[in-house]
Amino acid sequence: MKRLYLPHPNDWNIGGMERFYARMARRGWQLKKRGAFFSRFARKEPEDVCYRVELVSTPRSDAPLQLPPEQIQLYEECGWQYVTGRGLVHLFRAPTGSGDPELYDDPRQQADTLQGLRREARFQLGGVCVQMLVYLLLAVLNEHYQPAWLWLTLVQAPSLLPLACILLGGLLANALHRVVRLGRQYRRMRRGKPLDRRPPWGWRVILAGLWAAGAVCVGLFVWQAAGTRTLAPELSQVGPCLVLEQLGETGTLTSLPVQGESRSGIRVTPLPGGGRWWHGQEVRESGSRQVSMFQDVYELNSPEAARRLGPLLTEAATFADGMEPVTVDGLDWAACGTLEAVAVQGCRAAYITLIVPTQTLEEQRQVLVQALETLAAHWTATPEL
Amino acid sequence: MEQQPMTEAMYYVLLALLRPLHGYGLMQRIGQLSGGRLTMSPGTLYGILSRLQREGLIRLEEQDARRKTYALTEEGTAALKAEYARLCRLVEDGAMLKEVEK
Repeated sequence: MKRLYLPHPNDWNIGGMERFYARMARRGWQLKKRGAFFSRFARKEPEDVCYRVELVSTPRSDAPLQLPPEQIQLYEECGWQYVTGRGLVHLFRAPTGSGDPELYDDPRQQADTLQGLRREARFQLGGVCVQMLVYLLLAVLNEHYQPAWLWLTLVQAPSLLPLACILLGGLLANALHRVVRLGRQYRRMRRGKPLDRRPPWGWRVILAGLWAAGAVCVGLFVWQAAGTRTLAPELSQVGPCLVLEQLGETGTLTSLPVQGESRSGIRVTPLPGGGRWWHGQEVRESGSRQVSMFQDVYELNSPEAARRLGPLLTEAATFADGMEPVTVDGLDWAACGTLEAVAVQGCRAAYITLIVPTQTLEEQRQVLVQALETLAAHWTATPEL
Repeated sequence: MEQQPMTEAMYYVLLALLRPLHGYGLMQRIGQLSGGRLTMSPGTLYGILSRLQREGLIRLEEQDARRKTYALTEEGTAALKAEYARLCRLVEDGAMLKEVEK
């Protein structure tokens, strides 16, 4: 027997569910089982049937989620065949135009059946709100949290934060809409008006917008991932990046001693607007001497963007407290600490961590200042994008 | 405590249950009693039956695997009589309308 699984409308969308299953039956797919997110259909002859949703109206949250057998029996005696059900939602069907009475002729009576669904919706909304608060608290209370990181993430992978906002916002909007929609439906029926089975066009537009925005973000992420290349840390290959060879370090290229798989290499990732983000590490060994350099070099589409990025890179540095502005010929702006340095020139900005075996911190700092001078000369000699 | 006026549907359900009936039979009986004026859908009927059972006005007479037969309790009979008496009073009070029409 041929089977088909399709996602079904949400349980608050009672009219949508009834239309969906009737449409599938007309196409020759008969509903067999309704799961949490998908419904299972079996291939049958196309038929013109009408589906009706009956909800379990539980007086308590711990009551069983089943329709009583006598209720099913009564409906079946009236011509409505029980099909399947899950949770609070149960489905009956009858041939279209059979003259069988509707399940309800009194909207006020039917309104009571929404109570279980409304309670579930409020509970879900509460859960989503708690979830959001936990995420927010985890982010803010994280000892390493810095607002500058958010901005850097927006520069490096502009799709990630919007995608997270769309996912979480969509989750919250869905839970909120469920509560609002069911509440509106309940009040309408208590006033004696029949169940509103019209398609929720407004919500569909919002959903379409969220899906479109999500698809754009995913597309951007895939474009960045597909365009990322890994290059050997050699001067001829890595464009605006500094290499240890330029600093006089000519030892053997090796891997990070603490992360065996993190090989020396520079990755270049395309940025929207025509920019590029170069990032990676280079480790060279010469006898017992080991020198490591980590760097993020940004080629942006305007000098203003690069100027804004400089202070952000400084703020996000691991040892940000020790960073101080320095003047380096050929650089528009620079800051230097004991292990890290930031440089800005034209449309370029760089964050460099350089670890060289030295006797004192002052020597280490001098090495970093020399690295900045070398970088300034390198950038001056290398044309911008 | 004075009894609240019944809805028309509740009144007819109790009236139909002067003779024990199962759900579908009840629907047909209500149609007969009201001369076809009142038809009750299964969902509405089931909601009323649940409520009347909760309030102790009807009880399950006998039960097989799926079908239940409902019957009036003593409280249900009393409530039906009280409602009937109330409706009679309403009709009597409204009798002057006939004189107005003359």
